[in-house]
Amino acid sequence: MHNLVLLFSESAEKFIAERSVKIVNINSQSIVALDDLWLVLKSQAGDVEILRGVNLEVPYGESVSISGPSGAGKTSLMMIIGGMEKATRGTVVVAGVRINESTEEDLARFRRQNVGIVFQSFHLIPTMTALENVAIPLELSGDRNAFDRARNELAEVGLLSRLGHYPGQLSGGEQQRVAIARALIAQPDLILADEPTGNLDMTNSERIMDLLVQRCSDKNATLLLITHQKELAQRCTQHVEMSDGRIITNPNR
Amino acid sequence: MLPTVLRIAYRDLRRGHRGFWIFLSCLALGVAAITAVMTMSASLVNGIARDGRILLGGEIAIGQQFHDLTDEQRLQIEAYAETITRFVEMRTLLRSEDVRRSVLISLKAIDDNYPIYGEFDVRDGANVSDLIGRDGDTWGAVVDPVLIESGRVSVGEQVFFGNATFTVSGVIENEPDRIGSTGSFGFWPRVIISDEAVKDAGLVVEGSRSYFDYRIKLKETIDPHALRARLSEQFPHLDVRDFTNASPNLAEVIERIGVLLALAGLTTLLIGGVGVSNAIRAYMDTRLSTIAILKCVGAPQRLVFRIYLAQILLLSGVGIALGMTVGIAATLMSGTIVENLYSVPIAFSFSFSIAAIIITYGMLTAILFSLWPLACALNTMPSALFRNAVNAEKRTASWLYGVISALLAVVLAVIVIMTAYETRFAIWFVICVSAAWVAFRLVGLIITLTSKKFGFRHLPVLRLAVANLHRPGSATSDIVLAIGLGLSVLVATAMVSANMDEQINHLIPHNAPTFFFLGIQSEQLNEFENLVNAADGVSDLNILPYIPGRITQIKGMNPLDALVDEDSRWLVDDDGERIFSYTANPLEGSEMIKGDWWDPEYSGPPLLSIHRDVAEGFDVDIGDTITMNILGREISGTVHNVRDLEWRSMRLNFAIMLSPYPLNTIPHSSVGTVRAPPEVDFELQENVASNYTNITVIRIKDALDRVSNLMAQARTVASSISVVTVLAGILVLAGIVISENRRRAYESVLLKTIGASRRYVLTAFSFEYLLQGVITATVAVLFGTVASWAVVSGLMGWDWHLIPLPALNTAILGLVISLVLGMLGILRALRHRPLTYLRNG
Repeated sequence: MHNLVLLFSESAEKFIAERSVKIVNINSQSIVALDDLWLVLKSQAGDVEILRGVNLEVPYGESVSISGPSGAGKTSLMMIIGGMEKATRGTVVVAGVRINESTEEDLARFRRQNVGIVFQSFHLIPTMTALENVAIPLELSGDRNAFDRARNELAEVGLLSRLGHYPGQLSGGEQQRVAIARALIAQPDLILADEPTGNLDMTNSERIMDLLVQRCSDKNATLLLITHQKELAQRCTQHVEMSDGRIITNPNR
Repeated sequence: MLPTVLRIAYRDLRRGHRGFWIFLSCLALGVAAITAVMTMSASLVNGIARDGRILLGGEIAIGQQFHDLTDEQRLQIEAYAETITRFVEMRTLLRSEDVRRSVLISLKAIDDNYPIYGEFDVRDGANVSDLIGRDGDTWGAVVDPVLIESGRVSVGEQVFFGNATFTVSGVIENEPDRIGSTGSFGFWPRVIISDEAVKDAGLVVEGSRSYFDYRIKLKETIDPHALRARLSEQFPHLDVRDFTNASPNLAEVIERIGVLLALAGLTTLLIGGVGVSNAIRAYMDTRLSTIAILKCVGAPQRLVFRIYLAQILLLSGVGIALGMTVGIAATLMSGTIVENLYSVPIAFSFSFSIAAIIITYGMLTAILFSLWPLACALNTMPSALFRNAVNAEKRTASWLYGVISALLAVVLAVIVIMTAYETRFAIWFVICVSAAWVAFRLVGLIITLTSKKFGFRHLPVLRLAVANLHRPGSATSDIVLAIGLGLSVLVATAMVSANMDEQINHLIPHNAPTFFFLGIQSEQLNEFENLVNAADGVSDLNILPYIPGRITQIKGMNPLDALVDEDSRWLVDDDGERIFSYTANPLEGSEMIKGDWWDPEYSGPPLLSIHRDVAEGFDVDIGDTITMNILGREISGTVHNVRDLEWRSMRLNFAIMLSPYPLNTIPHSSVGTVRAPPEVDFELQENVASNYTNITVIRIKDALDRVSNLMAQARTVASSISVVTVLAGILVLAGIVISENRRRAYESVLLKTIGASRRYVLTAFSFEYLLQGVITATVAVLFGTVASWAVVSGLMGWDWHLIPLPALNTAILGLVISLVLGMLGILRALRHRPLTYLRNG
């Protein structure tokens, strides 16, 4: 019984801190540094090369758009950068952390501290209110002011009147604003946005993009954006074009 | 402020609990079954303990058969007593004017002090002393309501016991110490008269089969337990009990039935466990996105595990509390019914230890069945969110969770065995359940693998049905397990019931005697034989001496030391006398196994003919000696032969028969049997009863009717428990059907969109259920049959018979129920509008 109490009373922060291994921190000017990155998936039909020797460096504070046809490897690249997929080979250093050498637990901590993600389908937790959805990353870090900060963050994205609403009670645009607030609340260095306006109409797309770029700029966060829309891509300071698992246009190379 | 884990768990549960009613129902039903069984058993035991003095009729009971206590014994008891009551009990024939209404009853003759504890009530609140007193030439008698209701006697009617005439003056409403009656006196319909009347009737003679009983309220300073121990030691041949053990037989029956019902309850809980597992899997399927999102925002896997484990524990707590409440309510509601129906006292009892056992069972079951689906869901990768590819198919978990699940199962099994009244049976139960579990999992696997081999290229409907059996995420395995276990229990219950019926039929052999006669005195023998043989058509009058005694030594050893087979313990148990007999000629109906019969003229030292149970139970062979204490005399005999016999033939026989000398020199009574045609049997009964008031006439049919009634009641209890178990099975199945609804609806929408008719879809899905059901039912019949064999031969100690029809009928019924449930699910799925699924599917 005593252990059971301990099991649930232990703060998430303490829990994570005790179990984290030291993350290798290399000195770099880039928040993202990829070197000869390969992703090969096995299938019954044979190996499928998703990424084939990708090299990319993204300096801190930049905003980079990634585009390319379906199957080019954009999303796979983003998943690897976010620590949600492991590269088959090559070096991945994000915010000074060697992603490929980290354990699952390390990666969870890495994401909580360094990365915010915005999805095309919003992916808010349906059973939690807007406020709770935004507060979650801070709660996981054991931040006692999680809800105050979440309230401020939602105010910044114009949703102060929607704090107690569940995702199902919000419009698509509102849900994406909540998702942006959640991605930014822990003040990560890197924001990954995968087609964040893909499920929105043109007017909402414009607004969301304005908001995303503005908030990233306010927080000095680097933005990595996957988009098919040229107008949106043009708002970023850099543009990367991918095709067939390779980067074919990279201004830094 | 709540810890983070609990906070997130609560938040997620707050709006996501809708899918949990199956989880709660399955767990609550199982827990309710166990709670009801355990609290009812405990309440009965508690009731007996609470009312011990009333049930026994005193603080100390002391008595013996055949003889009253000696003056010395009485004086000694009086020294301890504040109040004493004495009564005499016997089985005798209640004779009425119409001989056809004569019936064997249990007669109790009471004195003015009766009862010391409790109230002896008769209907309409009349005074008992007035009702059983003398009025001219007749005495009063109050009778069991059963006798009135069955039309055997009516109030005001004249009846006869022995030489006296009685008027039925009242109906017994409450005889406080009936349960504490010695031997089987409580089993027969009761008639109570005064002790003066029994003397007047001439029923009590020295050596007659009367039981002389004393109930004592002790002086305040005397400790009943210490006194019982002292009296037992001082008077080893007297039956001495104290109020803490008022009815040892009843307590044992309650414990035995309790263990059987508890195991049935546990089976219900385990079947419910399949529902729990399925419900958790269905719930976790709805939480895959949330898990992926939590991981995306930085929650480590262990934290996510704790969040959902907290939810499961919380809901398990609710389910267990709900189940316990329902179980307790069921006990409280049925308590009064049981109390009235079986005349047993119930003092509601729900102890901490019972609660702890139930909570342990409930929690272990919930965690055991939730762990694997929970662990599988945890493997959801956060990257799936990018592709909108979060789905429930083909997920598996670390082997570690498999090991933990196996350990939990072992812990559960150990607790079941350790808390069971009968360890051996509990071990068999665990083995059977585990075997059934593995078998039905294997059947599920075989169905899945085999179905992959069949393409049915030219039968698209069948192809679709078979493909559904093995597609990724198929519920085949769970359905097979749920239907399989539920049907096995149902088949087992049907087979046990059928065997009970068979047992009752078997109890009445076609050539059974019509009457047993007890208490024939030596001097009455010739006259009695003449009287019986004079009746038209009677045959096979068989009379044997009836001599009570005890076995004191076997092969020179204490009999308990010589015991090698526990089944034969009854022969030497300390609880009373055994009956011995002698004969010069070989016994009819016996089969000689070893040795031969002694010469009819033999008059030397005693020779023994023993039943094979005695030989095997004590490792006794020809030439070994057995010493008996018969009426105070130590008599040793040498084993001369070993024989076998069919007890149920109801022919007169005894485990140990002696050569005539020296028992033929000791005063004793005899017992007899006779076969009489129906046209003369009542007349013969009346003739014997009126001429020999001391002889007890037992109609075999009456006795068997009483036994049949008891067995029918036992069958009702077994059936009602199996209904609960089957309800759990149906609930599990319903849960699976509901959890599959969305997938089926989506598939049916797609099929309809590409041109399949409603009938086509319905046929294809029905085939799927039919295939699963038929194979599972076949295996269930096999398992249910084995389980019924274990219960009938292992627990009840009867011969087991294979009676296929009830098993098949039950299996078919179960199959139909599961098919109907499945069809209802399919029809529900077919009702969905395509638009909803095609837009969001």
